[in-house]
Amino acid sequence: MGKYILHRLVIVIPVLVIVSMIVFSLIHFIPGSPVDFIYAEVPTATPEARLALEQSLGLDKPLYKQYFTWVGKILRGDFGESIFYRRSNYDIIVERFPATLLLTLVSTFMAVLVAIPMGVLAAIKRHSVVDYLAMVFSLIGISVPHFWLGILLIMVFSLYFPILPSSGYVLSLSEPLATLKHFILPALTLGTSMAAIVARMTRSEMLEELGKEYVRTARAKGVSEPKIIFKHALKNALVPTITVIGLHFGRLLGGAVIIEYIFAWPGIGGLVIDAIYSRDYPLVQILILLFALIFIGINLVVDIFYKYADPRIKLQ
Amino acid sequence: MKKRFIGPVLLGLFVFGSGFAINGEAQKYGGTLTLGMYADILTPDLHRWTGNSTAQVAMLITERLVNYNEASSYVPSLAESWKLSPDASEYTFFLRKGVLFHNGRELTAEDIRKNIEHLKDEKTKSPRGAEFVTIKRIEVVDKYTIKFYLTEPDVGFLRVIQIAYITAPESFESKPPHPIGTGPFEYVEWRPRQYVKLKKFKNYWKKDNSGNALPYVDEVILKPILDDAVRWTSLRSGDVDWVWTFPVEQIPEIRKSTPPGIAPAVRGGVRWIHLGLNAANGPCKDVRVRQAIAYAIDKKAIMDGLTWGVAPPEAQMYPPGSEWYIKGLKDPYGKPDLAKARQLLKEAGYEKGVRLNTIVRNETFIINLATLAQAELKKVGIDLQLEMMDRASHEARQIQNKFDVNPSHQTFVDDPDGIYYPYFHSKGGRNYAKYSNPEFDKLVDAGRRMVDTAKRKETYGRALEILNRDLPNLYLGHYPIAQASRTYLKNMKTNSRGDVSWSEGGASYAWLEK
Repeated sequence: MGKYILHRLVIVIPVLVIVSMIVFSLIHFIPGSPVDFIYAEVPTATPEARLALEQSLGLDKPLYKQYFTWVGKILRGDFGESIFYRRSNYDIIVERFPATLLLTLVSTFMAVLVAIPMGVLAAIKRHSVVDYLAMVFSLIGISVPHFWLGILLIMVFSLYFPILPSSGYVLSLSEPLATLKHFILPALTLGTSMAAIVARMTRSEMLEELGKEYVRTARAKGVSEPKIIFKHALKNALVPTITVIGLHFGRLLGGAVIIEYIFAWPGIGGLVIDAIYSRDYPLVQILILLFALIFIGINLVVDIFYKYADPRIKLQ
Repeated sequence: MKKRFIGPVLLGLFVFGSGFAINGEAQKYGGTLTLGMYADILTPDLHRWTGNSTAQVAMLITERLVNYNEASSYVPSLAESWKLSPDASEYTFFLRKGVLFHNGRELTAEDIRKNIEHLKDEKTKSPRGAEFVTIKRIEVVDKYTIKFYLTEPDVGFLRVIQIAYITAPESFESKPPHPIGTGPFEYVEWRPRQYVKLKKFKNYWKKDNSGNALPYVDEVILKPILDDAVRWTSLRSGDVDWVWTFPVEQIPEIRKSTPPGIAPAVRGGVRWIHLGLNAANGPCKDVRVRQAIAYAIDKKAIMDGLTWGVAPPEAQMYPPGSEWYIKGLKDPYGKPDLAKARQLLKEAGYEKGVRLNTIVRNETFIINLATLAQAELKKVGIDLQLEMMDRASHEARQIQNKFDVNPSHQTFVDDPDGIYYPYFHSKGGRNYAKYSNPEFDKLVDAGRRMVDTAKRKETYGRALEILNRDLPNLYLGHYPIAQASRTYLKNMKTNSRGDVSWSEGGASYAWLEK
């Protein structure tokens, strides 16, 4: 196991190198530069001022030189400074990441809490009203776009029945109620589609497992039904479900852009979009590297989970 | 001054609901005023700011030597008066006495000098630092007098000096940034993408007309809420007391039935809407094609479609009410003349029609403008090929002169030299159309050095006539400002730039009636 993890960690290095090259060249090849963005609304900016800004940002040097300067800095632990915010990238990310992380955790937790029992129940009571209701929920949850659901929830819960705030982020131990209230709508919006997918997945995997011979054998030798369902079938059904949850989790950690926009959530999704929009090269580059790292990390964790759920799987 | 602009402003302005307080209503002290902003507030570091929401915060915390009045012309602020040398290369500002910073220290000429030098210093990396290059030397004459020596005459120097939000030099490099100004509100805290919190400055120098202390409210919170629909809902649910902006598309519906408790205020704005036309390359290089476009377009139909009848069509950059607005200007393209447009196209050799590459920034208002213009021009066989792009790409294409038609709206600059020179002078940095006309250049060069305002206005009037004939730009009108408040918020008036703090109004004059 330890050897396996070490092996996986070594693979991270070439992946990051390749990602860094792709990101670096892609962002520089998009038409328009940070200078264009900064001076787009400044009528008095002269060509000389543009040139001076370009030089001070080091954008006048050849691309490969800029790349190596950047990589060199990262290796020394210097993540650079954002062009747009004029602050250290590290500070900006540390400021914004917790909001995304917490929202991801809360919405994933909510989704899993609802979806797995729902999927199991639907599978056991196949073709019953419960099953149909669960599947209708799941279908709606998958098809409804985030932005629509988000705005709908705002309309209902902060306009027609004004019990929840329409947007904003509060995280404070001294105000637990306000914190909770601000989390409900965005977490619900994000959690719905995740719950829908997970419920569907759980149901179909459960049905498959319940139809297998070991379940028949277990029933024949008189193992209690709850034990069959939870100890045997569910454990096996969870392997693919965990993959889905893991992938979804990783994607959400990259910031749910639209949700953050709608709920004025100060997370990393809005940050990366703003950074791309303003051609904030240093910030975009470091953020994409971070996302790559997160994805790799989550995949690793998911693989270890597999081993846990199904001891037959060998990690090599 | 005030009397002069009331008439025209009312033409371009209509107010429905009761957003504006009635004179004589008693103001109340206290409470928290929450403002919903359309754009993010990027940093509380006011010498490194960019973007309008950030500037609005700066206007509440700090002041400048000069400020804007309702019509966005300059009036005294930290400087009580100023004087320029006959050749307009030396400016002397006389400071108001007894103005205190939030830390209790009195503002002096030395502070002003340090501010300008800090902004200008390359090490500060202010995005606008380069705009101070024309300042050759700064002389502190005495405690309350400061003199600027310029590298070249510039009668429009106030547009440069108004960039500088004056903060106490001891707060320049505070970490985390904590600006100390002289404005009506003190800085409390900034949470990125969440809010900026300000509290009332008890020793603010300005008083209201009856001599009462300003501001009235105890706290101001500015919240960026980027989504239009959510910002509007936040106002309706009372999460915020005031919003800038709501989408102009909503005007007809709001007019029909204003939601209870809401007072919308829509007024003529200052940003100029136009079609930029390439004067150096492509089919539009031929002035006849540019004129054909102008004759083919029904300006009124476009402005009505864009602003739901709020903003009238215009043929100049300066809005009604501005001191640079030319009254009674005849618009050569006031009414569409399709026959003439077809004739001009025929003469230019495009009888069978012409395709024009049109660069469109991905912003609802500009997309609407482009599609409306596209429909209008189709009638005479001009086919606008719309190409969508984001802001940075759009700016790059403008600067590189790679477009035929460029529907857009531009920043208002309070001094005509700030628009005529950069956008249309052959040496201008923003001359996207690559327009070049020596006769026009001569007028603009002369305008730069004219101290006499009446003469200057006449000069720019002549320059405008040339522009309307040569058409590197077809002016359409002005972008309206749509803001709204809760009815319990009284006297929250903004000026024609939409500012939340200006010489005689804004958040420091507003109070809560609840």
